[in-house]
Amino acid sequence: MNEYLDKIVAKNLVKNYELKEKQGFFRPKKRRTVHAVKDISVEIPKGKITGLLGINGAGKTTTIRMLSSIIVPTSGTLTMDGVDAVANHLWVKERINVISGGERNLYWRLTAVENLQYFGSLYGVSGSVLDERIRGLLEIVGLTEAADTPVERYSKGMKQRLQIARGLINDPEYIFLDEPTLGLDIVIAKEIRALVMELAAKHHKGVLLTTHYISEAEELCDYIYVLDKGAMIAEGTKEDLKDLLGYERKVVSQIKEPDLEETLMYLINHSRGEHA
Amino acid sequence: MVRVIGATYKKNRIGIIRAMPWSFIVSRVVTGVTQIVFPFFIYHYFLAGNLNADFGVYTGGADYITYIVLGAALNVLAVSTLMNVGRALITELREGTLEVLLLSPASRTGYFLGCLGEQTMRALLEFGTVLAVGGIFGADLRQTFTLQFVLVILLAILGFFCMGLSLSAVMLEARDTYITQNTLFFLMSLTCGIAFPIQYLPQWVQSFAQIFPLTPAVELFRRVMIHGQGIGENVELLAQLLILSVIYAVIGIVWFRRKERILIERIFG
Repeated sequence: MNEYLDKIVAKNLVKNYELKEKQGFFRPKKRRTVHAVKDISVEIPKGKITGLLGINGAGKTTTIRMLSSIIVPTSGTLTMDGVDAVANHLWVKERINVISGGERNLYWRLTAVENLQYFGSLYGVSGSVLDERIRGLLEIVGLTEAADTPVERYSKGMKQRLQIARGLINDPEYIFLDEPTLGLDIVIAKEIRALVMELAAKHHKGVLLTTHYISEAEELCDYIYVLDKGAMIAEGTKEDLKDLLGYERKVVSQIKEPDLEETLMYLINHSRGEHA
Repeated sequence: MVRVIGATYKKNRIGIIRAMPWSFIVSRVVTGVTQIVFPFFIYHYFLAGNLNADFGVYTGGADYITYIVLGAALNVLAVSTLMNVGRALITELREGTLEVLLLSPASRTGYFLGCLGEQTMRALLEFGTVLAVGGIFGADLRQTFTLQFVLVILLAILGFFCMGLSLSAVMLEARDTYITQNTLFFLMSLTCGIAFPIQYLPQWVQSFAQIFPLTPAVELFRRVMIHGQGIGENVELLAQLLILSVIYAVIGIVWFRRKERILIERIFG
């Protein structure tokens, strides 16, 4: 039982979607099964940053949606701190939050404070606890001065920072970060990366990070899973992953140590049977 | 749940005030007033006050203008409640906030009650405006503001709210508001006895009309307002309204709770 405590454990997760495709006006719809995620196993321990890497369509977002109990896996098991997360999805939802990149997931006509008050209430946080938390979060994400400005007047970076505050409003034990620095300038992205590191190291939260930016994964992640076309093609620390490529490179020549981006592309091409 | 109701009420209220959608209110009031004005002119200038004898039989001798005004006012209340509650989730989807709402453990019923609470004041404003205009056109509204009047309105809102819960799931499933709501509202205004007694319709249409809470609600409303009857004297209408409310609430809440994640898959999958 202990092996399941203080972590989210997903074993052999599969997600298939049934698609209905129109064939014509009077013809019956054609059914097609899409295998979005194929038999993956993931662990997200508290106090660590776990990376989920892959190119577009790799199955990262579907995996996050399963892990955060928004959608149900077709098969496989999912536990949080040893509790069946599929059967007890409301219990899970109290203890997690998702922060996505982009400008959605906020009410643009509301101010930052009003947004956070609303989302806090959805998680049962209220009164002085909520007020205090909002004040603290706005300070962390640097939006104290814009606290009473409607979100529609925010820049993209400000909205993203407010998203992070929203994702922390219920003080979650596990946080899923889906491309959190997407489209942000380097200064804000750096601030957000520092915050993510602090969440894991200082506040002992389990963090799952998906990102397109390899350097971000390299900087932040303690352990990395690589997805391609819904399947897990590699996993390990960044050193483990580099070794996969590094060993073969060294056989051919001793040119240079591979970086993680090179490693990722090698792994994807290798899994697809293509030449790196 | 109370916290979720309050938070949703506040969130929607602030959003509505800042967006100032007066056009929505004006549009529904104009529709309701039109439903009075056209029959008024036809009745006075085309029919010269003459009605088929069946009308008196079907309505218990009600005067036509009062009959029309009460129907139009309750129809406005029904459309307003159904539209605001029914569109709640799909509006969240369009604004990009549905995923975070469903990610939270918040009571879904509390969320809908918050939406209902916020919209009821506006819906009653529209309802009251249509009644007031109807009064100018000569409707007999002496029973307004009696306890029975208030109770009927509360029962009607309950019925419309419960139907709105189901409608919300349907709209989300179909990812459509326009066709769904307009088809429904057209069917309701045609079959529920808004502008004429449903006895004029074929028997199968009359039977079909019984699935809408508006049918018993408008009949009960007229009996209270025109004939001064109490709700207790109309147990069959009360029972029908409550049974329909329960059925729609079960479909809306239980079905949605069970199917929520499947529904979400279809949206985000």
